[in-house]
Amino acid sequence: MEKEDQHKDFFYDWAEFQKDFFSQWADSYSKIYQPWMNAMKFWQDMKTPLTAPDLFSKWSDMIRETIGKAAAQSQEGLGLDVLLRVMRASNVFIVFNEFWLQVLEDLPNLYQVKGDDTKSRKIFERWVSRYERVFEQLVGSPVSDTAKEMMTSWLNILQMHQAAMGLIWNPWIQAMPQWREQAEKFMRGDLGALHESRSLWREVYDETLGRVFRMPAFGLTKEQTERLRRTYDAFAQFWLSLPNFYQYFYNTGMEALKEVFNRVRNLKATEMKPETMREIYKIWWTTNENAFFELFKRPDFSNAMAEVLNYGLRVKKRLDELTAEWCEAVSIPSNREFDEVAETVQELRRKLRAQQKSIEELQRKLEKVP
Amino acid sequence: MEFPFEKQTSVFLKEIEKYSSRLLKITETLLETTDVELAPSPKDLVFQQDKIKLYHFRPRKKEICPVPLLITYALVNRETMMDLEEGRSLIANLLDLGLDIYIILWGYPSRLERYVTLDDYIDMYMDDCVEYIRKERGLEKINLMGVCQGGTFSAIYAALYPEKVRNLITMVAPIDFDTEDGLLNIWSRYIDVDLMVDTLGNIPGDFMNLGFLMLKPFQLMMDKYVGLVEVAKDPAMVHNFLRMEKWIFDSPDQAGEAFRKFLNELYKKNSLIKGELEIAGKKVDLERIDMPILNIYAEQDHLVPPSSSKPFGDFVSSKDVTTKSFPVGHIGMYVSAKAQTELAPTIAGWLIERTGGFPKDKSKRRKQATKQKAGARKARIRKKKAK
Repeated sequence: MEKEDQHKDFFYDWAEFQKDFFSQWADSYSKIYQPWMNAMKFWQDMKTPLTAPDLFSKWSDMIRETIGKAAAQSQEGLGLDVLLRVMRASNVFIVFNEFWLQVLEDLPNLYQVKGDDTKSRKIFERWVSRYERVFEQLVGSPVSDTAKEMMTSWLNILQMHQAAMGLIWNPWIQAMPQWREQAEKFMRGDLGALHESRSLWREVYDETLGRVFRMPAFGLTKEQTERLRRTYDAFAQFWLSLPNFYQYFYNTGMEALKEVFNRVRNLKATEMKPETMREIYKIWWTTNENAFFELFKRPDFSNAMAEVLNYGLRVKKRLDELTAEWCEAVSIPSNREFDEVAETVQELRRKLRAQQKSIEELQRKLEKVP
Repeated sequence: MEFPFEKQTSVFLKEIEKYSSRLLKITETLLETTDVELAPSPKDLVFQQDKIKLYHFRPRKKEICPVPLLITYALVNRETMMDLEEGRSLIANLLDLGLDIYIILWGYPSRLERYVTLDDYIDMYMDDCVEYIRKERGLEKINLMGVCQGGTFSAIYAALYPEKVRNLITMVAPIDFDTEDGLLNIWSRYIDVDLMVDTLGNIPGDFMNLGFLMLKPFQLMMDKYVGLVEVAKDPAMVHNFLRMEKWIFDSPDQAGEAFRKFLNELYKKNSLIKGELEIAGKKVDLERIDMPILNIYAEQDHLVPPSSSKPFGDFVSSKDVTTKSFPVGHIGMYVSAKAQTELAPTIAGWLIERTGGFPKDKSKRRKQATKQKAGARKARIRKKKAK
């Protein structure tokens, strides 16, 4: 109920703000839209009329294709790396512009349904759903390839383990990506549902597989079995911690969006109108930057981040232990042995340095001997 | 009433058109560039111990400060930021003002360096570099300048060996880690460092980088690239941007054990200012720092907040502490226009004043030049021998 009230207030304010200029907007929009359609050649080639969302998507596709072709033929190096980062950022920029244009399109409808909570809410939900595209582009923004590789290699190894062991709980494990997908859907919609689903999942997990994974094993392969089970347990906990972590991003992003609208409205009030899309975009990213900075300072966020990191590390640690065991069984040097060598080398370096110092000291003394 | 987005909608197409054409232009420029050069100031390798290298910059002036300056940069990222390019180089500016500069390059730790400790870095490698310069130049004490994490190292070193340091300069250096102003300070309290090092060994540079980018995600991962598209027509600006990019993503892995101690002892326990830190079995007592100190911090630093660097002077016994701030961010300290014009003169002026100025009479200057030549000759011989 409280949520609905908030929406109502927000839309009411927004609609009031727009009240006096909707008609002008409609005129200017109809005048302006056609020249846009004519101006860019690639639009004219389209057989079906474009709606606003298509406009940017087509732009994005076209640019990506053109640049992708050029990039494929070019040498690897700094320029190409930076170009890929520029492209990712440009996609966010373009998708944000797309979103904003769609908001502008919706404004007259919003005014028409003023006072109707249900319809207003539907428009807001439509905005939210469109805004998700901006968010998706953001989540996909530059993360290092090494980090990605690291993550995927962990998962690949785990999948290999699953396939190799043919465990009875394979269906559960295999169902996890679907579960994750579902959780992500919840994440983008009803956050309460996500929370409930997460709690339920943990409860079910703890009562079923969690118990199996944590129970002591018997027989000749006791240690190996326990290690393997602990690995699955760590993996499950890791995936379980992810939605909680992303939920913070989602919530903050949505709060920031509201703040963007408020800031734009205040700009109008003080007659400081944004002149370009770039300015609106600037308002958007600076608002988000501040909102996320505040989020990052919060202890609950830091906890959630640490939880994801620690669970991820535990998965890797357990996998490394399993790998080391298998390597040792077939006489392949394992990480553990490499580490022993590295430790010894560093110890020798220290000793060598200490002996060099002693020799220098003795030489100095020798020089003083008459 | 006027529609607030009228202009926006009317210029919308033009904006996108312009953006598209600039994007194509920047593509062309970027794809033509496979690499850019950093650190253009000429320098010679004079000493090496394991992966740690000591370089000596070729002086640019005939009259140089009689006491050389050793620069210690952080283990995180590279020291190339201090000598980014001609016209944006703190090192070149300092050389132009007559300083005689050495710099430590920590290198890229591989798996073999996993067990290099904080003690090794400070009490072994750093001390070896200081020893080399002292011997080579026949000096009891040298000037020391630590930057960022290198500033923390320098403070620790100066506390362990005050008899070897004539003047100490710390720049954007974290000293008091118990602050709520920096995200790194906050996050580090929640991270299980032991689990991280036990699992990963060395901490990947990319992981560190991701953490730094997360501090300002929208600016650093997005807006700066959108901004780059807007300067596409200016190849010089694009190349400047590329140099910064190269520096940012040139992030060495962190030796596991050194990382463990730095995070646990300094970030989590704040043991440096509590007098509880031990390096190579010796207590680090900041009160032993009695030489003149120039402590420089950036007012808008998001990596090392002013509250972390500013109080350094409160913990030392030195009677000559100068604290100076600049209205820039952490990186702006090296590359901003203000830093280019003011930072180097501040450092050089302060240092020369405390080292008795340049040798005035000709015989002293000659002596100094002979000494330098002899030093360079010895270094060449050693280098040959090493080969």
